[in-house]
Amino acid sequence: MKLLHHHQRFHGHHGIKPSPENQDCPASLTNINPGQTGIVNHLHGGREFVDRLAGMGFTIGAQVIVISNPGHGPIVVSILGAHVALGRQEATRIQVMTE
Amino acid sequence: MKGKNQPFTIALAGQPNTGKSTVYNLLTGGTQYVSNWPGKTSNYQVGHFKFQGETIQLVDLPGVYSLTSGSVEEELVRKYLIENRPDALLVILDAVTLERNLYLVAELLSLEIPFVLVVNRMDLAETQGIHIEPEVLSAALRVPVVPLVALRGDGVQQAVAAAIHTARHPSDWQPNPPLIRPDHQQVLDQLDEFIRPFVPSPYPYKWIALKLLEGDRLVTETMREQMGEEWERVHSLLLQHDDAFLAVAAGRYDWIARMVRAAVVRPRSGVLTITDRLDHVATHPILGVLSLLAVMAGLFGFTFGIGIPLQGWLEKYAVQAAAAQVPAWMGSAPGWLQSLVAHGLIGGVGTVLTLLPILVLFFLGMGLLEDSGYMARAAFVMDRYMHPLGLHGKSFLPLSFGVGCNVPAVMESRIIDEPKARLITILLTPFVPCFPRLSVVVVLAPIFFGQNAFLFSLLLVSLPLLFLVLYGKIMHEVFQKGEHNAFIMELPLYQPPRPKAIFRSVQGRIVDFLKGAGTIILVVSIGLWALSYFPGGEIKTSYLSRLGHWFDPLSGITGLDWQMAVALVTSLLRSENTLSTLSVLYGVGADRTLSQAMAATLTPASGLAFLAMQILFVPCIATIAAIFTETRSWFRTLVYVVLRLLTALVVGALIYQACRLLQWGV
Repeated sequence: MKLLHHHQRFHGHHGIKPSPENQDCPASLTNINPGQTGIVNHLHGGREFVDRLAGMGFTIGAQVIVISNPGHGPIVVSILGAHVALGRQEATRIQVMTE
Repeated sequence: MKGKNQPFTIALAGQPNTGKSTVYNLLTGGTQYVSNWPGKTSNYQVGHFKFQGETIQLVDLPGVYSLTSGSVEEELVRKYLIENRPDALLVILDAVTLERNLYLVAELLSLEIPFVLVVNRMDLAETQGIHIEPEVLSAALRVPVVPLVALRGDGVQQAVAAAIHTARHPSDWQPNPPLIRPDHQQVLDQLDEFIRPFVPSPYPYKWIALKLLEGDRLVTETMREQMGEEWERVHSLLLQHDDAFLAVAAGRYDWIARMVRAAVVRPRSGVLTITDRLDHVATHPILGVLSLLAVMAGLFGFTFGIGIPLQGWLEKYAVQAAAAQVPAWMGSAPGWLQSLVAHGLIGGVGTVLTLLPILVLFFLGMGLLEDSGYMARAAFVMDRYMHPLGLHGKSFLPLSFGVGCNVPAVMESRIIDEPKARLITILLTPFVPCFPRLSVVVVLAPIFFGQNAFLFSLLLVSLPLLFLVLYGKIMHEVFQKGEHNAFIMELPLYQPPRPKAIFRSVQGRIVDFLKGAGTIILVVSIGLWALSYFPGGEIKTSYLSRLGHWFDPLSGITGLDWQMAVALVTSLLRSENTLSTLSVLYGVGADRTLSQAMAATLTPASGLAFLAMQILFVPCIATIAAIFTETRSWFRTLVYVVLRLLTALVVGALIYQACRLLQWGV
């Protein structure tokens, strides 16, 4: 297990406020490859869906690292220290910005 | 104000997997199942402990990610917190997921119940490079934050003391809450004005207003009902702020960020934990399935490789030996009483006893899988295959273990939180033919089908699986029409299994089984004994056989003779009884074997029909008892039994008639 020397602190928005202006390529979580990071831009869906996502850490500005994305089927991401598995449909509804 | 007689109540709250149950057991010395994945405690536990001479009531609430009305657990927690209003809360946080765990804390603040934060697993977090300063966090939040040293009690006592102090000095409770946007605050103030006369007690106005703004389904429905015509104003106000919920959630995380800014340091992402490495394989669509099959093969081998011989040993040296002693012990007692004790009583107890080795080993294995964290990966990997049947990924394990024995498999359905998926799993699992049923096919197939025994065996085994899929799809359509339960599942960190926790869970499940199934099995055993003994003391002339003879007129349709009918009925107690009953009724003895006896009087068509019925037949009473224990519904259990009975009879009859039509084996 490697420990890098550069430590970071949790910033709710990671220093960047996502807005329509700096949206280079609105992609969904399913477009992110394993090892890459995305910042959540928007959540498409009804209240209950968004509420569930919020409880798991998915909110505008949240940093999501993709762990597993085989191209079809569910994906696994790391968010706020936990691993979360998402169905593909659910993942397509999470819009992210790539760093 | 609480009366003097009511004990001080502390509730344990927190997101799933933060270790609430550990704290509960530490304080109460309880024997709750401690499990390493979300959704396990789905009702709340109440216990007591003594603190500085006083008795404190402790309530362990199920883990919930937030207080929306999305799940049964969340609604339960909300209801409990608002209606029962504990004196204080101990909110358990996991150092590794601290920021996310604080989301629930943000929600709890609006309920205005004093709380103390307990941070768990700081040692584990340190190894991942996560450094937390509890005092700094406490200063930012203006709430006591106590680190917990796992396995030892120190932090817990401190936390309880802090909780009691905070509750007794309410003016000291001045936490630092999330900021509310000015425009939202305006809306909340207006809402407060509109709703005040209508808010049912004891719900706090502020909380209701906030939930309305968030668009909480339950609160909205309740208030709409309460307010009648007045609801219109509220409704149009809310419509103008339709997207408030996104902002409210983001606002909570902003608050969290401010609170932890000085208190929590994380390593730059790129640290690979063991969990990451293992999950590369475990969650891989192909490798994941393969590794799951390997794990299961291992577990299966362990459970049944040791369990079945143990079962046989117990059967021979405990049960049969005891039964053999009965004439010696009860020499003077009347014949029927001796038979009752030997067969009804000892037989019934024996059924329960001989199931124990398999149950213990199975629950040990499952406990290991759960505690290590692997179970969540197994569920994840199988989920896509289970959904078309109305099942969850988690259903796969109970289902597949049904091959060995349905009883533990049905009980294992507890791991599924979603009630409908759990019910469907409970009802589908017993379709999987267990070893004893399979062995009947294996023994009788050669008699009826000769060279083609293997082929026919395969066909017969696939019958119940076919119905499993068929009924699964039907139930999926009927019960879950249009429902789409969003698939969002946390995969907890892998951890070395904890022997104590596992033993506790095994103990709990065995006790549940004995309590639930034990009595039923005994009663049915004695009942069946009575039917097969009276009036003449011999099974051939008994009421049971007379019952069998009632079906004689139907034998033209079903292909069964009375001996087979009786054998099926006796299989209700244990599937193993089928063969032994047939032996007795066909007069198997020194001069002829079962093969000879059956081949002499029965046609292959009859045999096929019988074997089909047997493998589809109502499951054994232990399984039915387990179904009842898990569904808690006589009605559902009964409906299921009738369904299995009809399926077996109709399919058997159809097969027999088809054979006659095709002039095969008649």
